[in-house]
Amino acid sequence: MSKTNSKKCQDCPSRMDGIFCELEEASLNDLGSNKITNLYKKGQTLFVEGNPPYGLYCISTGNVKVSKIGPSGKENIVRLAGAGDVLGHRSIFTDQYYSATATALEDTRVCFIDKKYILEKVEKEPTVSKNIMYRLGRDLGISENKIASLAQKSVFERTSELLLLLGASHSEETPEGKMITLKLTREEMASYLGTSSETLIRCISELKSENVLGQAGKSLIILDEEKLVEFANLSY
Amino acid sequence: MNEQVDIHFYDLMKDYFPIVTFKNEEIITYRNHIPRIGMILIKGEIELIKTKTSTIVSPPQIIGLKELWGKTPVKYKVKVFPGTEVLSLDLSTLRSLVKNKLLDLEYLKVT
Repeated sequence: MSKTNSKKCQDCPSRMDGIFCELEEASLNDLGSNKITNLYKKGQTLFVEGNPPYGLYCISTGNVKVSKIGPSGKENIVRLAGAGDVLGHRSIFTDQYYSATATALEDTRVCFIDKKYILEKVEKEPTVSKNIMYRLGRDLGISENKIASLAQKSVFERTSELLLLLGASHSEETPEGKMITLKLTREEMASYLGTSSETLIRCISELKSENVLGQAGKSLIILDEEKLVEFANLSY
Repeated sequence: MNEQVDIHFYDLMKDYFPIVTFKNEEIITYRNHIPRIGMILIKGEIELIKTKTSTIVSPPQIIGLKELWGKTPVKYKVKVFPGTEVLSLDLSTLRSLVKNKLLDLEYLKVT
């Protein structure tokens, strides 16, 4: 069997968004020879909650959901990660087993860097440490906002907030507005929002009737971002 | 993909690599993927799944080491079960052992 298409880090489409963006050529070559690149199909898991961590996952293309299974067996999406994002870093530094499961939402190319190598890089390359800290801080901020939203906001406000988030991170401009490109099912969106699919569908219908949201095929389009910001009741 | 572990190899490896326990079932390597780690199965079972057939392997076995070292994809899907204990072999440590002549390359060319 032939070797898989392990691209050079220099050619990665997400290089400038990643934690290794400031590394010099020699360091990138060294990283390239130590990483393992695999293409995960939709539904395949990168790692599983409760199992031991081996390293860091760097998403080159595609999207991943990070979810936890509740006592009733229901999935709760805690985070969405896309190209340029890293996963598994928290478990490496805390030396804890994975607290959630990461699953590809679509065909996703992921580079894996083992724990020993990444810990050495963090010690030797301040830019890598800085970029990881930036991500940890950013993710903490997102989690804090999510907790506050769950406690303080209505499902309608939270739905508007999620659409804004997806509009900022996973969309493309169309003449009508921002078309959300991330293929999340209604169940997955509801799971992220901590609500039921039925309630989410009612909120989406309401946003459509207000001409804030449109639809093209299965994709949602943000028609009126200003109004969506108002509906999301953003305080920051 | 898998082979009975040489006792001398295991004795050497156990000083350098951690033993990890899986709490939950996991497909640790998908078919046509390069393994992220090599494993020496210590306790429990691992299932190697082909399209139509599957094989359960028991300790002591080495799984995925050759493919990890050569960065070649595996022909099987590798599933671990809860309670399975393995010696987790990472690429960086293997390279450092080879570089420092603490590990003979022959051990990494598992047939």
